[in-house]
Amino acid sequence: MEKLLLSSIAALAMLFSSPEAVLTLSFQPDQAAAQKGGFRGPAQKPNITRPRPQTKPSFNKPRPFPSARPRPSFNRPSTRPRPRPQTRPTPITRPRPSLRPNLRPNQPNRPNANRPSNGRPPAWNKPNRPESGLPGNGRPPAWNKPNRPNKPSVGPPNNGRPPAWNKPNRPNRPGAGRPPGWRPPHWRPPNWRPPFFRPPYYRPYHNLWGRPYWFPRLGWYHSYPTRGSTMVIVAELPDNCDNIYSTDETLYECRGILYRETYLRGELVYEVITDLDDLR
Amino acid sequence: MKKLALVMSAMALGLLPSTIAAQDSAAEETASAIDSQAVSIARASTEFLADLPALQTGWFVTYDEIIAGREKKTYIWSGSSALERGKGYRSTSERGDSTREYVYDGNDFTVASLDRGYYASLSISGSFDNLVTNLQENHGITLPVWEVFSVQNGGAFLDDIVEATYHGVTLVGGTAAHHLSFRSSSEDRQMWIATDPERPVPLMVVGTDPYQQGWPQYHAFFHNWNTAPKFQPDMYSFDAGDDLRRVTLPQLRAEAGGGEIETGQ
Repeated sequence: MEKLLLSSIAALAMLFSSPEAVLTLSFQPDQAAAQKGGFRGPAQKPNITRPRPQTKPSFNKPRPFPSARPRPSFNRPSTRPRPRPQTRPTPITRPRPSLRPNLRPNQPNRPNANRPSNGRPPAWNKPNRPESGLPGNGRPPAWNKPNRPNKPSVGPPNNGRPPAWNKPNRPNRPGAGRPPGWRPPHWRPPNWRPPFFRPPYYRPYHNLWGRPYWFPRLGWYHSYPTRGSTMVIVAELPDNCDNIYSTDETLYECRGILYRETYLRGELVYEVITDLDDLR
Repeated sequence: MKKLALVMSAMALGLLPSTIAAQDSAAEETASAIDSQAVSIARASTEFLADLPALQTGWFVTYDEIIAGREKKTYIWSGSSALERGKGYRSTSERGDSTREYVYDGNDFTVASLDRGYYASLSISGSFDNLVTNLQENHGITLPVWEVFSVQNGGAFLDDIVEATYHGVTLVGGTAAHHLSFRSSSEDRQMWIATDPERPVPLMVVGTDPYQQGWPQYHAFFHNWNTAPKFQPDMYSFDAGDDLRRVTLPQLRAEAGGGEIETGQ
């Protein structure tokens, strides 16, 4: 009995002391963390201090000499602080060498590179694609991510817009150079909506038989419920009809369609006998 | 539980007399809203017409139709009608741009347009009231001013009234008439009935539909009353001849034949 107890204790000691036990059966955080340098308490957000872009001019700095650029010829009254001349050097607009790998279709190490995408955009963010080799977990680099230092633009200078000749470091607004309160012609506030206009009222085509319907070979027609069926009627016959006098009723044939004279609610109408399905 | 039952019974005992009192007051209000003089004048006129073996009158009717909930269109229908109970009925009317002839001899009914050159015929037997009901329910045909000639349905409106008012005597086309007004669950109606107690014929009737926007009305003006007419023997016979062509008279569904069709959607 003692031998059995000792042997089991020895087996457990071997099991917990071996590296495989640490990898497979270790559920204790201190043991798990010890492989990465030890437990240091709860996880903390890394304090990464990035240089923030300068959005406002610093008034503590000594004011440099005014720029040599020509100023506007008139004194525009403005309540905003006067724009200061640019103190930072103009960023280089030369495209920076990209970090993104060359993913052109002829890339040899990319499987199925020549496969058409069926009109879909390339699935950059598609999971389980380790072959992409993209930095940033397969996503394109976030050039426009906030709180990032200004990077030189990779596109055309000034984003393709014309340079702001009238004012340095100011966007080229439509009202720039205009007195305050100036608006372009036909300008409306953003929440402006056109006033409600009541649509005109159109009198129905024929009020006695209800809603009219349109069929190309019939024109306007009406449907009317009868015993066992629904009658298709027209108020007037088309031109050039041939009368067919039968024994008990009068029929008309107009352009291959057979009509029968019918007295309906005090008015003479023409019932369409030909099946409309045959006319389609 | 016993307490709750006691409270409930007490409430019931307390509410019961008040409910009965409310019903009594409502009945009294209804009774007071109905002017007995107006009702008696109208009933006298209805019974007088129903007792006539034959009668003939000219009439001029306008009736409105509300289209698309806002447009009111007024139609005109005029003519003369004659009825000989047990023998036949004949009416000549003008509606739209054509005429209509309604002829009934007790076995066959014919509607014809002589100027348009067509007619439609139907086999119906029975009284005039049976003819009216059959045409309206099965074929959507409404005979002009049929209520004046009807025996069964002539006084049906008076059985359903909730208010009646007598407004006095007024002249209608030179004839003195009682001006009456009635309200029922289906229609508001004004009547002008001749003051002659020996000949209380209606001179004008105005009806209003209180449930339709626009409140369409019909006006019926009666003239040339003949309460003892003499008719020719061929008054109720109709010969189509060769000039008229026969047209079909379809049987409509019940919802389409009773005149309850909503038009102008």
